[in-house]
Amino acid sequence: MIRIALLPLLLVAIPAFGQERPMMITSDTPEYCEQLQARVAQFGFGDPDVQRLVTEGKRMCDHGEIRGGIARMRRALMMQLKQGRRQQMPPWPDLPPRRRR
Amino acid sequence: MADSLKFRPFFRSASVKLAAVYGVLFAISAVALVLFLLWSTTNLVDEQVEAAINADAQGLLERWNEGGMPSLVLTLKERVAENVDDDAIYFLADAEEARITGNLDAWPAKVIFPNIFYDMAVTRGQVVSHAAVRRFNLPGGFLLLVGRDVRGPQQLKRLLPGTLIWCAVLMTVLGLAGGLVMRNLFRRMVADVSATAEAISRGELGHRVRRSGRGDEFDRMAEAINTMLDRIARLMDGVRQVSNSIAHDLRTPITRARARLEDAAYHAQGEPELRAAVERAVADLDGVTAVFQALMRIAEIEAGSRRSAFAEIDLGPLLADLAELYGALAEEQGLTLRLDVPDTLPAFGDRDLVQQAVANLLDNAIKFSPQGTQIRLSAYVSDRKIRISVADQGPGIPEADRERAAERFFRGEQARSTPGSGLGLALVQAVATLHDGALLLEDARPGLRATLSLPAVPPARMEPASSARDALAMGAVAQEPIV
Repeated sequence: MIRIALLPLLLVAIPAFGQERPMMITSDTPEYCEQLQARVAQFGFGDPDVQRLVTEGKRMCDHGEIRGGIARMRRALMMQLKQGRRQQMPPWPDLPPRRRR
Repeated sequence: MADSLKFRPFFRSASVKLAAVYGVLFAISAVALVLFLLWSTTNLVDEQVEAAINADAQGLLERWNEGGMPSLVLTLKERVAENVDDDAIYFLADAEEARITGNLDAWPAKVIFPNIFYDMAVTRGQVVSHAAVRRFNLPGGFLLLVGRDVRGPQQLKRLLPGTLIWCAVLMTVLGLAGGLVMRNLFRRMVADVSATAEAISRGELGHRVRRSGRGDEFDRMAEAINTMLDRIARLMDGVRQVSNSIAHDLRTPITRARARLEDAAYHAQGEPELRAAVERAVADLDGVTAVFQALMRIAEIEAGSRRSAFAEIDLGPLLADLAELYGALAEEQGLTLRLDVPDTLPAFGDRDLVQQAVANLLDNAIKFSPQGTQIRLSAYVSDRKIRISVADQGPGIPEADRERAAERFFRGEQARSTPGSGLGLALVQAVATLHDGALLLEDARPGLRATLSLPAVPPARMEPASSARDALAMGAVAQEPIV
């Protein structure tokens, strides 16, 4: 009787047990946002559009809108690269220390 | 039980079955189309993702070959940084699957074999998504994982079945509606045809199928049915008219014969007088028999059974012989018969019938021509037709009567005083129709020109045929004209 009562629990547990653990994408984190900001800063903010995108991106990352913030940082970086700065590209900055969330 | 009996005729209806078949076929087609769209779209999306991963990996492997590990690491960082679409996944690990660089937190345990695309769950912030990834083994035991976030394609794949199922449902409903429309059209058309058939079977012969005026297939069918009914009505009128004519035309000679016999029976003074009366009655009855024979011959020709006896014939000698035969008769009547016919005139048909038809035309011309006038028998080829023409200078046929002149027993006002049964031109018409030809009656100013058209045979096909003269010699021709 107890076994029968536990059967629904077992049925629920089996798929949960079989499910894989989702892998985490690390380029959606506040740390990566900071890393991208540091990367853009390496080229300097000569272009006002780049400056604006970086400012927006930083504000969004600080407010928890990480993916939006990272998207703006990436667009700022792409604008810099389109302006022909890939040749003068410095090495990637070191990652800032990982923050505990 | 009563309900099932009530619905049974509904399901037996051909229009309901037609609508059902139409609806089911439409539904099957819709479902098949939807399944094909789903399959092809899903395949296309998967192929695009796999192609993107392969192209990406190809570029990375080239960087590895050019600059080794440092170059590959730098390229991976750049690609992650420049990935504006935010869908690229990279992971570079050593032989122990320990992270060197990339944007995954660890090597996924399930990705064991290269050359296989794995589907795995990934988290972006708090959101769980899906990715397609592939493993590449690098020299030195290093491992490279390249993937794409397939959240967009996954959403498309999730949305597609629902959307397409709704499309299929909509198409099925439209199909059923179309089936119902077809059923109603079918029922309306069949109901009209059925009502017409019932009305005609009740004796309302003037009833016809209604036309919608749209000029569609139903209209064409209605026209065909109505044309058929008109033709049947004309034939029935013809039969009625012929029956009346037979009764009318045969009553006179039979009554005359009866009166002569009765008169002889009561008043004959001797055997010679009695014998003469009987002979006159026999002559009258022979005339009746001749009419029946002519009718039977026309019926035989119209039945088309003589078409099997068609052969290639030369009308040139045949017409010359007829001119010789009727020339003597014309001369007796004080007429001149002129012949204008080429030596050779190949045709395809029944020699005896053509001969009889032309003989009828010549006999009519001789009968109605005033003394001292000329009759002209001519023949020529035009538009792949042989046109045999008999023109006289008699009173002709009024235009109003010409259309009916070839009907059985038709006799114009001017013909009433001359002997004849009114079957001569009917036979010519029957012969023309049998040969896919035509009989044309025209005003010859003065007189009548009757032209019989028959299909010509090209001279190359013409085989040497015995002339009508030979046939006459063998006694095969010389049929009495029907007048």
